[in-house]
Amino acid sequence: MYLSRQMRHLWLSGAPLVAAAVFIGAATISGDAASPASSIRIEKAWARPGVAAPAGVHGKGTEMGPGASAIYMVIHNTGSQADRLLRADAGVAAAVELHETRMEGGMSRMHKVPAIVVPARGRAQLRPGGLHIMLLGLKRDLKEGERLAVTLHFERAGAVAISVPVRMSAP
Amino acid sequence: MARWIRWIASGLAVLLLSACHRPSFRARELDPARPVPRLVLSDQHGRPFNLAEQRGRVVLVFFGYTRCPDVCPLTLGMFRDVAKILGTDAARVRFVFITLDPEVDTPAFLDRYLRLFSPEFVGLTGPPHLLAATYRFFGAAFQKVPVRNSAAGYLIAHSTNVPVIDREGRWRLNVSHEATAADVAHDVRQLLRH
Repeated sequence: MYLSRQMRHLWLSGAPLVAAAVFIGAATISGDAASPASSIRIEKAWARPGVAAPAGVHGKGTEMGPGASAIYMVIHNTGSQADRLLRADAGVAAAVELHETRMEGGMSRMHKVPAIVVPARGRAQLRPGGLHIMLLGLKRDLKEGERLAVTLHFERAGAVAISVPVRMSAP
Repeated sequence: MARWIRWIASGLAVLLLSACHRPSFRARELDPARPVPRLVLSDQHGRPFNLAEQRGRVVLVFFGYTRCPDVCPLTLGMFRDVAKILGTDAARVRFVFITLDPEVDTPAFLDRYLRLFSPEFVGLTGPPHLLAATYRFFGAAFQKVPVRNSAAGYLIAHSTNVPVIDREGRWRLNVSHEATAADVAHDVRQLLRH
């Protein structure tokens, strides 16, 4: 959606060279590639396999019912200013949220976090047992070996589209 | 000369064997081991499953819930790696996932969830009083936590250790969720041998 909006705007402005440059910048990052238009680079992204909630199954107090997964990655910021991951979109889930797991008193606890800070010339690590992007209410099963289209929304860098492989453990 | 070496080697072998007589574990050993009471839950296919009566088999137990995105799949992935390392010995091990969220984790959903990891894994649920007795025996601590402004509604904070039941039906070891598959496979082999 982000891509098509960009392209429509550029076709109207009639600047094919700039269009090509921005097109590359906005194109889906596959694997460990970088977006030249952005100071954000995504590395080692992966999502856990998951199963979709069967129709009509909802537990008490769970708006989304069962069917969850998590996405992990390393977010590099090559810019001179800190950036923040504000939210993420993934068509495969009814809701996508930023969460953090913490061990407290021998128990594993999860919290929702408002944003994930990526320091200037630094990185943020999303990994099991820590920060992650949580997929809730999966609309279909996520099978090992497939890829998910996910768009990350940063405060400064804007939208960054990535393709995330579904795997059992970190690449 | 060769005969001397053979004598020394066989002497060393005897020494080593006697040193190995008592198994050494990488996980925390319960002393004394606690006999598991009769706890009959039902598996993902609706069949009764008694944790105390898997005699001859080593049982690894994990308490979790299917919406848990992090520690639960991490541990089930570790179970899968342990099974891989054990090879044919894995047939003498039961990998058991006991739900902390029985309202959401129906047997059918447990079945689909566990198939992500292995069709051999056992998913257990049951009536509230039997589940509660099971949690209590193994000291599984958990708490439903509402998550503010989240579509998740609530999540479950829970303890993460893996109780291991030996071939005589006794709770023998407590494995940390941070243990590697190699460590766990090592301990399971010890239990299968002794």
